[in-house]
Amino acid sequence: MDDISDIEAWLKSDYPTAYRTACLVLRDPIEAQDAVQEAFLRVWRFRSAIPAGAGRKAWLYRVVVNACVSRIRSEQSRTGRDDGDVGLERFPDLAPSPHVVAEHSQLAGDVIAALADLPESLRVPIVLRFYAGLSEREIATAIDRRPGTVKSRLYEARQRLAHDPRLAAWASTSDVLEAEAR
Amino acid sequence: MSTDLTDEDLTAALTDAAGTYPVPESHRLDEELADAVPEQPWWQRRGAQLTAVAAALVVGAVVVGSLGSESGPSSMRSKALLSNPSAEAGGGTTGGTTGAAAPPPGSSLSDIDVGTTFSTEKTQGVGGAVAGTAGPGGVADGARVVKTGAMTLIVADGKVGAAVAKLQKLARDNRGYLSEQQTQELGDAPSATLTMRVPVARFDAVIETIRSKGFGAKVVSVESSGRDITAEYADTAAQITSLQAARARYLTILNGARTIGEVLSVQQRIDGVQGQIDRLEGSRRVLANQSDLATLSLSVSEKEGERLIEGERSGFAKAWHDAVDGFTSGVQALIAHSGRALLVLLVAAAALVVGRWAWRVARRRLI
Repeated sequence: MDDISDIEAWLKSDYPTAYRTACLVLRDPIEAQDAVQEAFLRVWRFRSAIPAGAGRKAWLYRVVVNACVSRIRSEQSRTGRDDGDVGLERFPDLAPSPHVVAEHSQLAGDVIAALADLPESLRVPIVLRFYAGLSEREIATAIDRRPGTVKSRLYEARQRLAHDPRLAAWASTSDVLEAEAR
Repeated sequence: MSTDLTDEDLTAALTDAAGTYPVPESHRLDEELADAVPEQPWWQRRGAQLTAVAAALVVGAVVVGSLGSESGPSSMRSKALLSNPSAEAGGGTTGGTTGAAAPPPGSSLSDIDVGTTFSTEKTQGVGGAVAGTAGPGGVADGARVVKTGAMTLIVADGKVGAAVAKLQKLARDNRGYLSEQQTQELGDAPSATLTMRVPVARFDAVIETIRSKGFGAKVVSVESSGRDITAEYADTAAQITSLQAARARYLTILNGARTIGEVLSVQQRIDGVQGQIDRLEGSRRVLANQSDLATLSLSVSEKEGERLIEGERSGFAKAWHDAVDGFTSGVQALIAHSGRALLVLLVAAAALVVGRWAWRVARRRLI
């Protein structure tokens, strides 16, 4: 692929997004930092295998997602809990502190809480699609599933979020504001 | 209760949620080490070099093993001659023999390597104490000299095999060995071409022994040369020491690295230094081997046979005979090397299959 400086620049530019993606998946900044560091080290070590062009973003997030999932799995085996799909309750609640959330909006806290209630199989695609900005095809590559599977998971995740009362309250407010604006 | 969540809603919501996680400082040391080591080409990377060395060792071991266990009338006769100096090649009914003679009895490749290393260290130690004194081979203790030579010998009819056996014994007596041997005992002009490796200190004595009347061979020509590589060897060793110290410092820094940027930068430096150390270690070993053991190329042939052939043929007859000889030699060489080439090809194919499999496994693990 490109020369070493290009890879460095690419990794540096994608680090914040990858780190926050891992945060949304794991909801633990420390675990997320370790996961992304491990993922980036893998990418660096196997830099000769990085695909050229647009595919490399999906490739990077596949490594990041796998690092996150590995951490979830190891946490499962450590605690001896395995109920199939993985919930965020495996990790201690290290979500942003209330004052940090307050600096952004109440919405942020509600979204994080709503994401926490999603299983990993739905949480990962929704984060990759609407935060990391991956296309459905790229998500399919990142999670090693068919595009049709990605589409159905995204649909289900949206449905669940749409029925979440915390987001419903926010959406109502949003509707009112939009109506007032009109 | 249901909410209509649009893509924009979700994007805004997740971006807002993600924004609550501050991105940690990750490139502190990276900026300090901004002058990154440029990426090395694949053939200079440590992994590639180690793989190549390992492949070469495997192929070498297989080839040496196959030569050691080689069987057949020609090789059996050759071994008989070498193991029995009194045997003569007078009844020559065998074909040519190509191969490398084994190192001294009781030793293996690893033994030779260990012995070489020991000898090197010992010489250096003595040299440090009494620098400037001349050793038995005319080489100052502590000095490193690469000695090479070539001799052409003529022996009586039917004595090529005996001469080869004597040279084998001479090498053994001087703690050396025949690294290459090619004998042609069939036909009108039996001959042998040998490469003898003996300790540098005994190089001159070996040449004198061959030249002595008691050896039973007429020396037609002698060439010898020496090259002092003491400075080159010392410089290589000093560079290795310096790089090893640098690697130790980087490893200390790596232990304290806390972020992705730190680890990447330091690991990159360590890889670069390790690559240089590996290359220099290889050079040092080559220099040590060359300066520990002198190389003497020997050509043995029968005078009468040469005179007879050259005297009887001339013009077209000689040209035709040369052509037939060349064709025969070429076919013999092809047959002689085909087994080894096939073996190397098989090993290479096996290595390729294993490599592809390992690569697939590594790639699967990576992602």
